[in-house]
Amino acid sequence: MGDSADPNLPPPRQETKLASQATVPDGYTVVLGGLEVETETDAETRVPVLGSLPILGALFKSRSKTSQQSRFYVFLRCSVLRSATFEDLRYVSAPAMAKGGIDDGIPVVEPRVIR
Amino acid sequence: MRAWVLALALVACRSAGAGPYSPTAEAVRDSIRAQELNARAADALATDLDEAESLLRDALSADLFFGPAHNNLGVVYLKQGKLYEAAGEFEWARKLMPGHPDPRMNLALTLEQAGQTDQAIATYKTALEVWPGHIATVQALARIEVLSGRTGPDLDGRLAEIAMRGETESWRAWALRSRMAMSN
Repeated sequence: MGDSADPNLPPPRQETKLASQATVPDGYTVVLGGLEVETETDAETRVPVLGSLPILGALFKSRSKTSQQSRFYVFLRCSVLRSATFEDLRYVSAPAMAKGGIDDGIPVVEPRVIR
Repeated sequence: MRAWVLALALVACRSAGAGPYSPTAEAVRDSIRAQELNARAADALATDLDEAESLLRDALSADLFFGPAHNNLGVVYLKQGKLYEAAGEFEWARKLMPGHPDPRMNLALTLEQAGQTDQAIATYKTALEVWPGHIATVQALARIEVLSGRTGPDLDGRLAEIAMRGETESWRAWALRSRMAMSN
């Protein structure tokens, strides 16, 4: 989604789709894609009438040319959920929840210090 | 001339460090100082990891074979996210204190954090072999078993034990919830 030029219009939408097949061991990450998108923009701004004059018109207009290149990768981490009740789904999301400071209700195991 | 070279080589060998901590010779072990530094490090662990690490390194320089300092240095590394180094220190501590469950439990926790679930479970079980009913290990073992989707009468027994004598209210409540979820 991008910014809309007109507030009454919906923002422009861009979809990037990727379809692939891979066999990945439990807990490993696979990188898919590598889609390359190249965007080239050629724009000209000119003063009405004056900008259209031959030779002198160049003084009343400006040209810009931009080129953008982006690559799109998908990093997919596969985890096998063994529990039929998806209890272990919480385990998969636990590190991310801990990073976000969200309490998942599962007690934390602290390492033991010996005095 | 040869005698001089040999003498110099001997001096060089004596002054060279044999490992990450020095001195290592049995004769220069100062267990009392190591114990004192370890106790200070244990207090610093909650507030200042760098200070704790420095104290523990000093403790191990005083006595390389002081097991608690290896264990606690492992705790420092674990808190810093240095899992490989932590596992190394817990291994040292485990060998120096074979009858103590804490280094084994800490090693299992390190393996758990490294995503090696099966090895972590096996290591938690060795901690229970040397100290049956060690509640901190029972809790940690039950937790990883529940979270990795294991079931069975052994796990149910562990959860029942935690529900009865878990270290905190949150452990006891979690054990009750987990038992109910498993019975549904």
